[in-house]
Amino acid sequence: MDKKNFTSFLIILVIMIAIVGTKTINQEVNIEVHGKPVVRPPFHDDEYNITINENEIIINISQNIVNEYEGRFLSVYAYDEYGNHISKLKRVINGKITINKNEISNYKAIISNDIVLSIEMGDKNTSFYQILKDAMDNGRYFGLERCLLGMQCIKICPVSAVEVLVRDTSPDGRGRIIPHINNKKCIHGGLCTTTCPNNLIILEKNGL
Amino acid sequence: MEPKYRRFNVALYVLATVILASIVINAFISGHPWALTCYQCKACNLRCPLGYDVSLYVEAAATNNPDLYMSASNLQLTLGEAYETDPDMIVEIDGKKMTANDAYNSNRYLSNTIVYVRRLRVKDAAKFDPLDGICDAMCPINLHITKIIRDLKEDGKFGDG
Repeated sequence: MDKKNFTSFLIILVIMIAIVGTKTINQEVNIEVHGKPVVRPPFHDDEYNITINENEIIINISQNIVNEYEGRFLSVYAYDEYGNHISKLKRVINGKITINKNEISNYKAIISNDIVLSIEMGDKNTSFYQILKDAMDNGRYFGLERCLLGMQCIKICPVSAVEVLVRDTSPDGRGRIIPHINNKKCIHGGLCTTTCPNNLIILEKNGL
Repeated sequence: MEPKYRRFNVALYVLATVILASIVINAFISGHPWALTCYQCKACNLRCPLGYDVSLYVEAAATNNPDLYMSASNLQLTLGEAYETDPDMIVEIDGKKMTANDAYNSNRYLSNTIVYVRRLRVKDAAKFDPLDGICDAMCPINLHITKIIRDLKEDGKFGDG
């Protein structure tokens, strides 16, 4: 390459960098304000009923939940002896959820100070049936929840207002897992509400 | 090189080029050309709550073929749903594996009998996918697998998303 060609190459390169740089600087984050996101309250005890027989766990679900979740997934959870949140994702069919005795759990959420530190695969050697039964027998938290632990709300938020999943410490929460929304950071863009596959986060105006 | 060998060589090169080009073209037609970068490590399969062979989503996008069959281990449907979705879907009832068509027409099971799905088409897998996005989190090269699933969920075809 001779000197003339090299100079031309450099000039073109500088012009391209200038164009790209200017575009990037001028790019505005244009997010429409939709409303304040809020986490929906937990299911009440009278909205579902968990029974365990010799072969399976059966969760009968009230009509108002069935209307919303028939054919969709919900998470059944129970706490193990070490304080880990163990969950099994199941599809609501015919107004109920059934989990066979031999099915293993899907996820183990490691929790410290009410914050979910990591989500690991469920233990392959212990059935979810056994974990839920132990939780029931020993007075540990168990129940039905909306969060599927995919953390899409955390990934989608452009201002990191949803940074972590936490344990719901409210009396009705029964240890369910919910996203923690930092209202000081939140710009009310509504992305978390649209990306949550289970409508756990909704806009406040749409109603609690 | 003798002319006949040269012609043979050229023909092979042309054939290889056509095959490779068709793969790339199919990936672009599907709207997910980045699917070609998947190197089938199958890390996405590890945490899928439905026990799907998630890498088949990416393979289907790369080949623009949503009719590929994938395995599943934790998807429950009613027999009626399975039959209506795909009569050739492999389901398990009472420990026996059979096609939804065979089970439905055997008159031994009711339409609302709950069955476990063992093999289903990629487009049907997307239809029942909860879109929890855990497979994205597992991908070591950050492929947007959820984007493929959303695309297929709409109409069972690639190219809209």
